Amino acid sequence: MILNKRIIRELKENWARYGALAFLIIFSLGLVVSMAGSTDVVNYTIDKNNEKNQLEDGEFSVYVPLTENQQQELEKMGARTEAAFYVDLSGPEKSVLRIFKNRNSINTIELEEGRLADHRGEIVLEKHYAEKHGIRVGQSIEVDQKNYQVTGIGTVPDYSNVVQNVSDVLADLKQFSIGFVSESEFNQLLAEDINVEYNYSYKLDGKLTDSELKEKLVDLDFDKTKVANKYMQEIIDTIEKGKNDLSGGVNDLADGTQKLANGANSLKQGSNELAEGAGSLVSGTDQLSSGLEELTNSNTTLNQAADDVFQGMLAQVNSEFANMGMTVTVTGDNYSSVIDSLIKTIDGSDANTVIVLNTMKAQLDSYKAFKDGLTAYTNGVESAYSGSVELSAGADSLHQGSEAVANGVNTLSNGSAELNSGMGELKNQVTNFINENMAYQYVNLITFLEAGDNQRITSCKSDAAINKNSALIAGVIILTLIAYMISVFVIHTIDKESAVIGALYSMGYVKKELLKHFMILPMLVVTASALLGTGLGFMLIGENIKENVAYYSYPGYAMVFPPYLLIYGVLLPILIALLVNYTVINSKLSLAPLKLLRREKKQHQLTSIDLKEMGFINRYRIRQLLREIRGNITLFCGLSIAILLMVFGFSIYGSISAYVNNVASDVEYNYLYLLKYPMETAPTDATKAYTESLTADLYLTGGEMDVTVQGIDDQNPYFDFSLDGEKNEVVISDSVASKFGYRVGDEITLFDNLTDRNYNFRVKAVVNFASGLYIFMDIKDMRELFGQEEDYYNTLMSDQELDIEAGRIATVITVDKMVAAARQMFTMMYGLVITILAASVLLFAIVMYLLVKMMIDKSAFSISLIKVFGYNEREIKKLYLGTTFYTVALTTLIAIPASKMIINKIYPYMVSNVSAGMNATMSPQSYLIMVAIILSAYAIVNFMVGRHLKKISLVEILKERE
Amino acid sequence: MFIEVNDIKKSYGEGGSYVQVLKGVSTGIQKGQICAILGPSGSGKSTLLNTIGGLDTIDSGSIKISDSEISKLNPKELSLYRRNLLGFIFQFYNLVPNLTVKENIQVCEYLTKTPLDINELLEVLGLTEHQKKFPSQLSGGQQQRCAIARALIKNPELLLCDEPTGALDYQASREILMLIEKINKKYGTTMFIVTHNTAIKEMVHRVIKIKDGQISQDYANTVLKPASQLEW
Repeated sequence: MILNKRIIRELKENWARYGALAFLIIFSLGLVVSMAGSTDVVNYTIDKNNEKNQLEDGEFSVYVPLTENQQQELEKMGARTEAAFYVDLSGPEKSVLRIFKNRNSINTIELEEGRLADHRGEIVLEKHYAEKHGIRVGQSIEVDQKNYQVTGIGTVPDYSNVVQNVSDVLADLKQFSIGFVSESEFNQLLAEDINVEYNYSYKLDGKLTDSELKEKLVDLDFDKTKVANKYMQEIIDTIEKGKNDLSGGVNDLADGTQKLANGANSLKQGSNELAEGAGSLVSGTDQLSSGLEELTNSNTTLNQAADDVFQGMLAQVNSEFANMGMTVTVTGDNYSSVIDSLIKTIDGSDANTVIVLNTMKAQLDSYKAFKDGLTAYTNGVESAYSGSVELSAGADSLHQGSEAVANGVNTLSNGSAELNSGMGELKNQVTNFINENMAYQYVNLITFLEAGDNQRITSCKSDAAINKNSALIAGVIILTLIAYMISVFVIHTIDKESAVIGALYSMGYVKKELLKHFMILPMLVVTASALLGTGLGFMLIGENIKENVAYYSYPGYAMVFPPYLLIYGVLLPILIALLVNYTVINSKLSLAPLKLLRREKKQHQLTSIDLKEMGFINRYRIRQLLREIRGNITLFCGLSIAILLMVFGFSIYGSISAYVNNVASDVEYNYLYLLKYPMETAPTDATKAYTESLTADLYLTGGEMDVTVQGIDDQNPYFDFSLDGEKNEVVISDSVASKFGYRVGDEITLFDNLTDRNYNFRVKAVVNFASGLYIFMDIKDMRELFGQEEDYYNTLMSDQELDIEAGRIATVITVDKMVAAARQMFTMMYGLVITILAASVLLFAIVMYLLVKMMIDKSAFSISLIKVFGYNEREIKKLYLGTTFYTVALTTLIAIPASKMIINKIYPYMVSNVSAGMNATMSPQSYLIMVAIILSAYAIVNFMVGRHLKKISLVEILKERE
Repeated sequence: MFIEVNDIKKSYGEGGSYVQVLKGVSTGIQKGQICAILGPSGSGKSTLLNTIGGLDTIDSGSIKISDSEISKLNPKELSLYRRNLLGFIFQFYNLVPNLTVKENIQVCEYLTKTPLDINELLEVLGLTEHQKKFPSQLSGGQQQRCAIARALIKNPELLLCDEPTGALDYQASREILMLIEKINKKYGTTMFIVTHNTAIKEMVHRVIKIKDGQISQDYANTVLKPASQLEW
């Protein structure tokens, strides 16, 4: 079709416009394809490397190495294992080198240079570590005060992310890495170093699942006496002692209970006898009492009779005295003294009288003695009676008491017999408990980690995948915008050539022919740009992958050209352009020929809006804005996308800056020691805490992520929040809140993968703590929850470096290291931030320039007209470019907060694989800088379009009809 | 009759803006004749031309071209009708700006299987030396000649001219009119010319005057004045 001859001319005439659009497409696709392609290259390289070097399906660590039989047994079940024991040794520049022996069949070493370490004194280093320390093959390195010759440099698939601990946020490639030595060298190291980790890698052959293997490993028997680690042995000894003490205590208790039962039995017999004796006693005392009562009743008669006899005797003596001429009278009371006085008076003069008197006195004494004796007897009988009555009552009480005692003793005896029997049971149960439950202390398995949950293996690919997804989505948005922009330009052309098109219709052209014609140029531009952009993208992969290659440890990458990316890069833009342009151009060409000939345009309702008494300039600007509403909406969309990109760039910058600053400000201790084997007595200058690592469901990825639960007490000087409350209440860091979307009052469930146990907590508060993913709870409640002793701890916090035996330490976290790692992340992301910002500014400026210029072109007639009327350049600029300012200002006001909201929502997904909560943060300065960039871009575009405005000739009005 | 127009009515708008532009127009011309449609602005002359050209619809009445009713045709059939039978010439030429003179003509050559010889046409229209120029490099008269050539290349049976001299000066207008006359004689093309220029009525076979949507005069010239002798 001859009409198509104009396409090249149209392209030449509007080379700046189409060139800029092509540049945008090429640039966008270049970025998108290179980012997505980089991901594919990384994935391909890693997958290939994983396959070649037999990446593990998982790994586990144990206290005591598996026996050969156990390994064979596991292999028969479907799990091939290979020891990957390691020791952490000090390397150059205070770095830590994790030394392994050479691997045979799982996670084998991929050498980039040199050879494996075959002999003693040789080592193969991880490539980034070698590079960071400037070490080359053939040079030597001092590890733990011993010189090694570096024979090779390479990578292993299980440490593509070279982090010391699986939960570390970032790798510090200079401070920690891995090395491989020969088996004999490693054995020597093992002999020297007690701090060896018995780690195993495994591969499953399909017959066994990971969880089945874990169960098997938990059940696997092992010889606890072979635990080589002295600290572990200490723990075992303590537990064993406790176990023995418990067992011995229960035996003693059982013996005591037996004795108690025997004693209670004897007591029972005695008490029964006592009860019987008491019965007899009651009966005897009753009889005695009855006899004594009878005796008592005759006492008065007896006493009276005795007194009568004595008085009779006194009367007889008085009568004798009278006969003897003595004028004395004796009574019962004075007879002795009177007679003695008489005898004294006589004083030997009358011996016979003295004898008579003595005889009389003796008789009276005997009679008195009888009387007194009788009185004493009757008194005794009375007392005996009274006593017998009491005895009888007492015997009754004794009888009753003895019966009660007997009953009690019976009960006691029965109870003690039962106790004895129960004690037997208790003993059996305690023994069973010791055998069954205390055996868990010696589950050999320490850690079990599936490859899919191991960030050393997964984070490289997942990191790349996030970039890829973001890039692909951004690419579609930008391409749609560009396609729409192109269609806007085509519409402008159609509008401009409306009468010509009408004329062509009048001549008999049909819509299909013109549609095809008008679509050729945009489709050519898009197709050529898509091809170039995709090509550029593939060429930029090497540049784009640099950061990934510099951070993750994997072999040299191989280029791949995935078909989907070719489809995305070439076909998708064409399809989008085809769809958008077809829709828009078809609609435009559907106008009746006459309308096209008359240049009739649909007047949007907005154009007839009543602007009341607004000033002329503003009214004119608003009218112009409404007249060019399509262009302004496109401008709004384009600038919004550019601002979205800008906000994204600033957010990445702000997010990492905030992370670096918050880590430094939130973490108040200088040293955090996580202990594998805590000392019995903690250093006095350290604060004790209890740390457990659990996992939580991460909705962002649909997977899980490790969180650190830390038990602290209210006196902990490094935290100023209170942990008072219910036992299951926890305080979470803002990092955790952001990462997992937890809020105050939420019930959260954390999972212990090793024990397959769930823990439920309620979020009491959210506190600022940027580092890692921490959940805090009261240490006492935590000890209770995890079944630890009252004074248990495994974490020490301190201002100073502590003097702790290296073998006890699992990890030392220092604030300096955390900040340094965060800064490293900052450095890594810096290039991306600059690229995004540059892209956004370019997009902003190009979109604005193209659309504003197009709108000016469309208004050429009226501009020419007002020039004719006498308006000067300044006034014309005010009228036409002022309109653009409204759009730019409105876009800035709407797009910045809207973009921030969008980025806030999507950013967590983009950093979902980072073990820290990172929010899309922008400082007030960033907002100001962004507004300054927008205004500067606007000023530049304004200047350039202003020059174009000047060129619109006065005769334009004579050339064309409106 | 080659063209028969019977009682056609055409109105625009509704309610307050309702305007009846054609109020029952009937006329017709023989094949090979030139017909001038005269009348003041807004009288309905362009509307009549557009309805005959199938660019506008009618409310009632009929338009027959070679006994074929065109007012009943759908847009596709109308396109085909225009493609096969019609040539259009406009006041503002409506040339494709970034095609040369020859290419502009070729745009319509594409539409027919039996085009006229383009070089001969260029020669007839005096455009041979300008054939490689773009419209912006031509005078108004040259552009209109190019537009005429574009319309004629298909060798249409009917040529509809809407104010063909409206944008041209006297000399250029005279040249265009002479050209129209020449083409009519050479190719026997039936022509409708809508114009404000009353002088044209002397060179055409038939004159229709329209006033307020109705034909006020409709007559045939028995003696035609050559275009070169027209004065206005």
